[in-house]
This record gives sequence, structure tokens and C-alpha cells, in this order.
Amino acid sequence: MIRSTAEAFARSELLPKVRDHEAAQALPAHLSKKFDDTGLGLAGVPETAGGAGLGAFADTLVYYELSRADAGAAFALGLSGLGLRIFGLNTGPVHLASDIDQRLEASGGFVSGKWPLSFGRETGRALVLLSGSDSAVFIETGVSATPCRPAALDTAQGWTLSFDKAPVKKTVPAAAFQNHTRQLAATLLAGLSACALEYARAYTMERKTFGRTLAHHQGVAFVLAEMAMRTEASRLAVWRSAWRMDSGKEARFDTAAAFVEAAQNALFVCDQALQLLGGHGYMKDHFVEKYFREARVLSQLWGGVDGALMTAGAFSTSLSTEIGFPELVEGRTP
Amino acid sequence: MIDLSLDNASRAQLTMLKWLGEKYLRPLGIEADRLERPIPPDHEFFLKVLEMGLGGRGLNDEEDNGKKSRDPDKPSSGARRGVIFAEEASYWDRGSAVALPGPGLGGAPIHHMGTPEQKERFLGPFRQKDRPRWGAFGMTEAGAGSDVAGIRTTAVKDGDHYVLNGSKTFISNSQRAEWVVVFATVDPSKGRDAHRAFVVEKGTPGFSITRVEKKIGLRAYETCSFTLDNCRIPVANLLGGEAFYEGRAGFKGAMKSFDSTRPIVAVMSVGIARAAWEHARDFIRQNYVTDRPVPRYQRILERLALMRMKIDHARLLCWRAAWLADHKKPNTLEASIAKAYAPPVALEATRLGLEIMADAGITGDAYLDKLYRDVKVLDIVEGTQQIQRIVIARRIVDYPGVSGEPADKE
Repeated sequence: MIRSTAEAFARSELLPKVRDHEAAQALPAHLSKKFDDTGLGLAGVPETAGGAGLGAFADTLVYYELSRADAGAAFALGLSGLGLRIFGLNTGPVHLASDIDQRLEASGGFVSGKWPLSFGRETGRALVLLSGSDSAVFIETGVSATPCRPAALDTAQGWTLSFDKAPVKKTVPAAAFQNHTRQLAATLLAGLSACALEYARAYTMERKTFGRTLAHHQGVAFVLAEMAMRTEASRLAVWRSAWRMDSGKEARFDTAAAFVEAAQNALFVCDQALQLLGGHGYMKDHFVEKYFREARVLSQLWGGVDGALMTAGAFSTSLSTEIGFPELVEGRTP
Repeated sequence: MIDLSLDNASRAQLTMLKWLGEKYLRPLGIEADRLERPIPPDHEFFLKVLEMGLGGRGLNDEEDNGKKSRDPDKPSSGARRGVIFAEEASYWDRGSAVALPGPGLGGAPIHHMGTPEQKERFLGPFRQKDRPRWGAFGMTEAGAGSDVAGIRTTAVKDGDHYVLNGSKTFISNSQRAEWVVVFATVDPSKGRDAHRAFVVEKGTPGFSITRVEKKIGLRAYETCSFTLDNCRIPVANLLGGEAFYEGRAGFKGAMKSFDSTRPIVAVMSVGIARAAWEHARDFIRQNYVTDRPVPRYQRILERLALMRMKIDHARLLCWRAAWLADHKKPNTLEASIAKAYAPPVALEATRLGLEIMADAGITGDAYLDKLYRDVKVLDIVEGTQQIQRIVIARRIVDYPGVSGEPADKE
């Protein structure tokens, strides 16, 4: 039900205007409102914060479906409630930064420095996970944002941030920050793989070369098979990490795992989708160039693959090797 | 969301399997590897297995323990239990697991293609506990491995018998089996449409084992070649009966049984990967003080994490294929995805374990080296990863299509 509602919204409201939204570098206000009216945006938000309390799995279904139409718009919509999910309090949109390289200076309760890229609506608030810290700091003043043109996902609005001795207002456990940010990015990457695969599949089934359908050359068919395998692996990985988050158990290894799986696969799938369109893939007439750029940006967000591996590495020697029950598998592949 | 939790009976079986694995499967697997010979059929271990109710209908159980009381509206759990048990058994030792008594891979075609009478006749005896019994699956020939359609073994009707001639190769447990499901062709010019499946029973005149293979791994079970020299097989042993083979039912039946066995074989590699990963993890715990500032330690921990992620996700793909089977949904695509994905992950896991141990990994740590040799064949049996890609491509883009024709005509 949630999934089909999200799919219908994505097909009717997002897909027809992908390039318009990208050019405008924003989703029109009426569209965000329309999304809010469907209730999808609050599906996974805790009831205490005014949501439906359906948890991370519901969110994952929603943003996966939106991402299959337009990852940029899905990202814009997903970001608006991310602070809410991490805090459980309605603080409005926040900038989110995960500093794994000590680019920001933090001392005596103040944060200073420049942050190259943050997405979402600008409210002057920021949540920063400092390098090596087990908590993220929440900042309400002393942050200035300058618009910047990101390499992709323009619809979600990019900003450069300046922290000028910004005072720390409060702290949030790192786990909540890492789980929610990685889960959203992983979900969008999985959806992105699915739509890149579908786009390339449709194209290679149409086009003919050397007297046969392009998809029916073994060199092409095997690439499509590989893309399908990886797309399925990503989807199951994000389903599982969402389930893990909802189970209330420690989920940082699992969300990091889903992110790494989805990121590596999307980088492969989106690159190959462009490749299969040949010269056309390089041109803006087709969406594959957009997928190619989006996979790059999403996979480098919030610490990227390196950050996720660092998180996961810290858990790796303490993991059990028993088969974990119950796990989930759900529905047919779209 | 689907609950994959096990019922109490299955949980108890899993607990027994763990006990069996630790006490017998792994030590026997290591011993067989060292001695380079399979576990003999009269080994006391096999009787022990029967006593415990584990080797009877096989770990790869297609029906819910033969219980007819299951609510027909509820999905079966057989395939899901199958992948869970297969993984656990392979985690202890895949070679010993395949050596376990039961119908083995031969159970699937009987289950999918056999008449009720045939199912009872050939699978029924596996309920008895007086002595261990094995079944076997005979498809591969020296000249027809991946290209199953190319089998040369012939079947010629003669009254109320079929006369079989030919030979099969790389057939697990075929020397000790009560019967082997043998695929043969009634007309080599007709390709797959002429395939038939016969149950060739032990002691049939003309059936003879010609060779016991020497393998680099998985030595705990026997792999043999055999010939069929004017073997007379009663019509009653033709799986499904004559009428079943209208169209391409024979070949399709074989392929359908692959849909249920592919996730099982794939998940076996997950079991081996798990054992290798655990071995590497324990080596790190025992030998490296990871909070010391040794640059390589961070890298090791991350590689260990990355490997674990891949193993977890490979398992999910296997479970998904099994879940679809239990819900009576088509799963050819998903079964092939699981089978293409999991074995290379497992090979990588064994290799990573050896690499983490650095020089200690190449001084003959027998256990990880054994797993490295064991796991490789899982990327080959039940359809190589290349064959799986053909199957996947067939499903997603109707590969190979017809030259110059639109390919998605339904």
C-alpha cells in the first residue's frame, strides 16, 4: 500500500518533470505540499514526533520508489524529515555533515571551518558528526550557507557551509546519525540502480546492431545480467538494514553494509547503463548521464564508502557468525 | 516483511545439526581431505545420523517432513528450511554434508516430475532407519556439462522397458546410491524435447561404475563416472510416465529441479564463506592486538567487514529465491542470481582469510587451505556463473532472441 502510493506519486508527479526540477534546483513548493498530503513523508517518523510510526522499513519503501523515478527529487523530499528521524524532535530541516577527515575544528564547545557541500532546504541549523566522535553536535547559530552547484542532485539544493565559532547546542548519539543518513543514501542508490538498469534494458531492447537486437549480443546481455544481480543485491541489503533498524538492535554494521553494497553496485550499474547507450549515453537527451553523476555524489556523501567501512571495521571482530533470525524478504522485484 | 523464523521442530533439528557438525561433519571432512578418500558407506557416523532423524529424507527436504497436515493455503517452508540447513551443514563441512544419507540432488526431479506412486516408491524408503540410503542425480556427461541439451545417453523403447546406453560423469554418491536419476534422450536429433528422466536402480545389469574421481577438495563424498550398457529400465521407472513428456516436459522438469537446487548449492558456498570468515576473525583476535597503531590493522578490519557484508548479502539472495519457491512464485531468475553471486563471494572469503594471515596463511594452515580448495567447485556445479548469466539474460531481455526479430513478443 505504502509502496504503491509512493510509486504512483513518483510516476505522476516526479518523472514527467525530472529535468525541470533539476534546472530549477528545487522542487516546487506545491509538490512538497502534495507529498506531505499523501502522508508518505511522515510514514517512518515516530508517533511522538507527529509521524505514523511505521519505522525505517516504511521509509525505505517510500524513498526507494521515489528514487526509481528521480533520485534528486527523492533526496530533496527525504532530507526534509531526516533531522526529525535522527532527533525525534521537530527541528525542521538541518544541514548534515559527517567529518571523517578532521576538516572542521572543534574545541571548547565551538565548531569552526568550512564544509564543502550540504544538501537540503536552508534553515541555518546543522548537525555535524565530528571525526572520531561518538556523538553528533547540533548547531543553531553561527552557520552561514552559500548556494553552490553540486555535481548532481541539483533538485535537492546544494550549499557550502561556514562555521564561525558556532556554539554546540546539544549532542545526539552518532548511531542515530549514521544509521539514518546511510540508510537514506543506500536506499536512493538502490533505487537509482533499479532505474538505470531499466533504462538501459529498454534502450538495448529497442536498438539494433549487426542485424540483431543490441541486448542479444552476449557481451551486452551478460552486462545486463550483472547489473540485474547487483541491483537485486542492493535492494535486499537496504531492506534488511531497515529491518535491523526497526528491530531496535545495534544496526550500524548493517546500515554501513547496505550503504557499501548499494554504493559500489550503483557506481557499476550507472556507469554500465551509460556505456550501453554509447554516444547517446553521454548526452543530456537521455537520463543515464544523470544517473551516472548521481551515483557518484550519493556514494561520496556523509563519509562515503571509506567512512562506512571504518564504522563497520570497528564492529567486525565482535560480530557473531550464527545465522540471524528472523530476516526479511518481501514482495516481488518491481 | 517476512518472518523467516523456524518452527520449534526445525529449531531442534538445527541444534542437532550443530552438534553433529562439531562432533562429526568437520572432523570427518578434515580427515577425508587428509586421507584423500570419501567417508566409507559403512561408517558408524551414517547410522548415527539416521538415529537422529537427520539423514532420512535429506537435508534438502522438499516436503514438510512428509506431513500432509499442512494448511494448503499457507505457504510451505520447505525451501527456506532447506537453505538454512544446507548452509549450516556446509559451514561445518560441505564435503561431509553431501556425503550424508538421503536422496540428495536426485530428490528434486522425483519430487517435481514423479507420479505419486513413484515418489512413494523411490523416496519412501528414505524414511526407514535400518541402514543409510543415498540417491543420486545423473545429468552430466563427459561431452555435456553446461550444455545440458547435448547429452548423448540414449533410451530406446523395447516393449515395457527402455534400453539405456551411454555414460555419465562427475556424479556424486553414485556408487553407493539406491538409484540414480538418469537423463537420456529418445532421439538425439531432437535436442531437449527428447529428454527423458529414468530412475536407474542399484544392481541393474549393465550399470557399472568405471571411475572414482580424485578431486582437489570436497573429498568426503565420492564422485564417480558410470556406464550404462544395454540397461533395461521398466517403463514404471520413467519419471512422470509417458504422457508427461508432451512438449518439453523432460527438459523443463530438469530445469525446474535446478530452480530448487540452485539456491541450495549457492547457500552451501555461503556456509563455507562463513567458516572461512570466522577462521580469519579468530586468527585476528588471537594474533593481532588491533588497537596498536599498526597501519595494516585498520585495513584488515575493513576488509574483514567488507567480506562479512558480501557474505550476508549473498545469503539474502539465496533466501529470497527460497522464499519465492515456498510461495509458489516463479524463481528461476532469483535462483540464478543467487547461484551466480554467492560462490565467487565465498571464494573471495577463503582467499581473504589466507591473506589476513599473511605468511602464516601459506605455511599450510590446513583448514583454510582446505576451504579454499573445497569452495571452488561450487562456482561450477549446478550451472557455472557463466551459465547463470545466460539464464538471467534470458529472463530479463529474452536472450538470445531471434536475429532481426523484435525480442519482447509475449
